[in-house]
Amino acid sequence: MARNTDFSFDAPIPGMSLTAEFAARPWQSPPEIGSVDDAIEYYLERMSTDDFADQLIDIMEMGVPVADVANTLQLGAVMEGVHTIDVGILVMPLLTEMMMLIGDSAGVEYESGLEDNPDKDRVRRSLVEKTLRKLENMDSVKKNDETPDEEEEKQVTEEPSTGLMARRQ
Amino acid sequence: MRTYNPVLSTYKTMSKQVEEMSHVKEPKKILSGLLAPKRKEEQKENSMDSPVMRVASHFKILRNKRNEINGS
Repeated sequence: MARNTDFSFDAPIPGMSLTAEFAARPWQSPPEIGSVDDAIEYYLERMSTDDFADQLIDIMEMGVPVADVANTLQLGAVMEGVHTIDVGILVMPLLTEMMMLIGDSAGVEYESGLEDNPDKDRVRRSLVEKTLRKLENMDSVKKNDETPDEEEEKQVTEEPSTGLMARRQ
Repeated sequence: MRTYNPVLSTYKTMSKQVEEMSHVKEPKKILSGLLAPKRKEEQKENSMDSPVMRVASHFKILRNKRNEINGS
């Protein structure tokens, strides 16, 4: 079972959905499409157009994962009251497959977004920052160690030696 | 960090479903009558009455088309 690991503080507060008048939102009234079959027809019809394909290819080339586009599409339709969220969830794999088919037939290199853990091989940003700080600290310590010696040497060379036993210049 | 996306789990489940569909043999002739054996729950779930199976059938067509394009 996939878990939501993103703990956002920007989430709606309990009871926030009750602040608007009942049935004022599109998703609170009966949906335009009631069955999965009608939803499939609705989406496939829209996705078969050239306009949609062109826009989708542009988005794919920008590096947006197909899975995210599919999720956004169905969520948008739910918000507009086109279909219910359960129909959207059922249709989502089909949307993803259809979009990947469009991408493949256009010969576009796209990111599917279906990998288990895409950040697995990516180096953590915090780790990079930590290492950079360590390196900076090491450099500053080195400089501190080096600088007094040089100053001392300068002082030593600058002072003219006086006395009986001093070397003659 | 990436946020939770339900597509990941639904897509994988659907892929499995489609793979299983290709292994399922054609059912034998259904007998009718009072003494005919009753259909099992599993058969009911796999029939086209289920919306998931109807989506899976469309999914399979698109998957086959993609495989044709990609040559696999």
